[in-house]
Amino acid sequence: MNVKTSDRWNGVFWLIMSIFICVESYRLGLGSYHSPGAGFLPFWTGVILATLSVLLFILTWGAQEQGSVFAEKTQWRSIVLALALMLAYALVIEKLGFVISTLLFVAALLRFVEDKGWYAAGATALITALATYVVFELWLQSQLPPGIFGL
Amino acid sequence: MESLDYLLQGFTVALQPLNLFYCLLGVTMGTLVGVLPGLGPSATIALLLPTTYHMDPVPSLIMLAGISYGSMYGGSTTSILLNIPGEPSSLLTCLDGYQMARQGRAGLALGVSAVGSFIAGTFSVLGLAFIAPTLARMALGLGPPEYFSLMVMGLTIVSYLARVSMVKAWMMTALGLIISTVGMDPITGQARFVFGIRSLYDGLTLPAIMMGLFGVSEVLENIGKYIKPEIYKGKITNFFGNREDWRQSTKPIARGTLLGFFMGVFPGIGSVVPTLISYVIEKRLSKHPEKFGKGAIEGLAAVEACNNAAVGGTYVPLLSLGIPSSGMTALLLAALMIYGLNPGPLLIRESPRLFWAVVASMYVGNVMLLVLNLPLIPLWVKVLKIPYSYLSAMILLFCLIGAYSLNNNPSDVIVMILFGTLGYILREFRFELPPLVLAFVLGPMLEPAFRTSLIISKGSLGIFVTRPISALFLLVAFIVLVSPLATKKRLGAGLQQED
Repeated sequence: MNVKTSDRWNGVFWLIMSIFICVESYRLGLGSYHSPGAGFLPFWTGVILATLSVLLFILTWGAQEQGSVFAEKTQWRSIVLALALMLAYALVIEKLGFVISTLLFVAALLRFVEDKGWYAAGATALITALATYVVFELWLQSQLPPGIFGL
Repeated sequence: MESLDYLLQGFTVALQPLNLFYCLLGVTMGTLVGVLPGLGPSATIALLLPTTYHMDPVPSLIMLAGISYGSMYGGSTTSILLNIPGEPSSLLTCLDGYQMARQGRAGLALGVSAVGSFIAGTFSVLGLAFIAPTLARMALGLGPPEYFSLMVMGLTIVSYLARVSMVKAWMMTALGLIISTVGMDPITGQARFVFGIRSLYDGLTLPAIMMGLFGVSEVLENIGKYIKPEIYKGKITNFFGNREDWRQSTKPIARGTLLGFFMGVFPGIGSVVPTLISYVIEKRLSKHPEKFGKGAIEGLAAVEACNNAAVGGTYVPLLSLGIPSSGMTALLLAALMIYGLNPGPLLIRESPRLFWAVVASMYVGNVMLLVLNLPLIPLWVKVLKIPYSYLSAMILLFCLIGAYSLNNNPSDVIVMILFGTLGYILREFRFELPPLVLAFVLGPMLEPAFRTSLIISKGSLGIFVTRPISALFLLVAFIVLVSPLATKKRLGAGLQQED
């Protein structure tokens, strides 16, 4: 997709978003000029965002071409996988504990996202998990969650 | 001369062994993240913030400040040797620095940028010591309308300085303001935009957002398409060149320093744009403008002095008014609040020990950087040989740990992941993130200032233009806003298309 087309879609998308924001803010109550309510600032900022979105949409006509968005070689699989692994880390860290979660996260990231061999991924993950445990838990006392083995 | 006395006292604190250690730690980490692509100073300060929770505020701030200016030194090293700007304000260092390295003058390029940075750093410490206390005293007379107008001015400037498109920068400003309202309304206590999610009631945490926008999103951008850098193989010698080299660099360093510092003081300007302007100025003043971009020492010297001075400048509004001018200073502001201090015009009066120790430590840190940076260059070059695939895994892991330790709560991690994704997508669509961050940061201060102003004035918007200082700020904002119409600069265009 080129930048011009993406700007048009962005104009449409943010216009819809800003209408939604304005409706939500209106419900919160705009108050009066004497005492502006909770919805006052987000409502008017939403109006500004809506205006700008329309402007962005209109300005794409007559704009110069500026190249494309999302490079062709964008590794969607790697990006989605990396995000999924991070999300999984957030969800399991308090159940499995810091060391095990970190071990699994780094190993999976290196093996499946970065295509390292099992051996390299596993060894790096083990060293990383132990080293970060020493630094963050023992030295900096970050109080990371202990897991089933107390680690 | 009272400032000088205080500054000397500051040095006695900054030179205590513990503070020296944290200063060294800060500048070394700063240099390291300046060297490494993919992890900038903002994300680093964000992820180290939780580790300082149980520390004394003085060494913590000394360390965090060290990261901010240390990263500038690191950024120049990679720009010169590898043509990779470790962080955005080194973009222009690449232009002439890398060319000098290719001509076999890598040593001189590194030497000039280290000395230029040092001179700029020294100047900005002095500037900070003399200007911040005065400004803070003056700021005591400012009320909510002035603060509101000042912040509006900052947001106008940051959007005007957009590199790609001003309309899109304004959109990001608006979005940042809206995101900043998520959570409990400070005045009425109503929950806004929380959609029933419990952990959103306290609002979104700034460090988690910064790690997402500036740590995670950069890794996502580079996954699978990172090309191994060409590492400079020549011998790095002759750091100090000859007299002619220095004669050519002196004036650019002086100009870059002044420009960087005084522009850095204005909220919203940051450190990227002053370097751009200082480069253009040097090119215009030069008798050999054709040499620029082909290894002109003047261009390199000015830009390097300028980006360091600008970092010092951004500390002025932070420490004297409590107003952050960039995402990085906003994190330091957050740190001050976490330590139970009261950022604002009273900070210097209430915590003189902290203020002067931090200012003095910035000078100490600059000396450390000058002494350590050149001998450590071979080490930084080695660090760059670590394959990016391992590095990116480590960056993601550090961001995860950092976000989790903010409140020992996985919800901050999820916020970070969401903002990492958002940042990546926005950047691909050519939206710029600094206006979003600044608006998010100023939002929680801007909104109460606006609303209390209206309560004071009993509902009249006139309060913002009848009070002279507030009117002045709004006038500047207005001029900045309409100037593109006068100069026929296209609304859809940005600085990149100029010159």
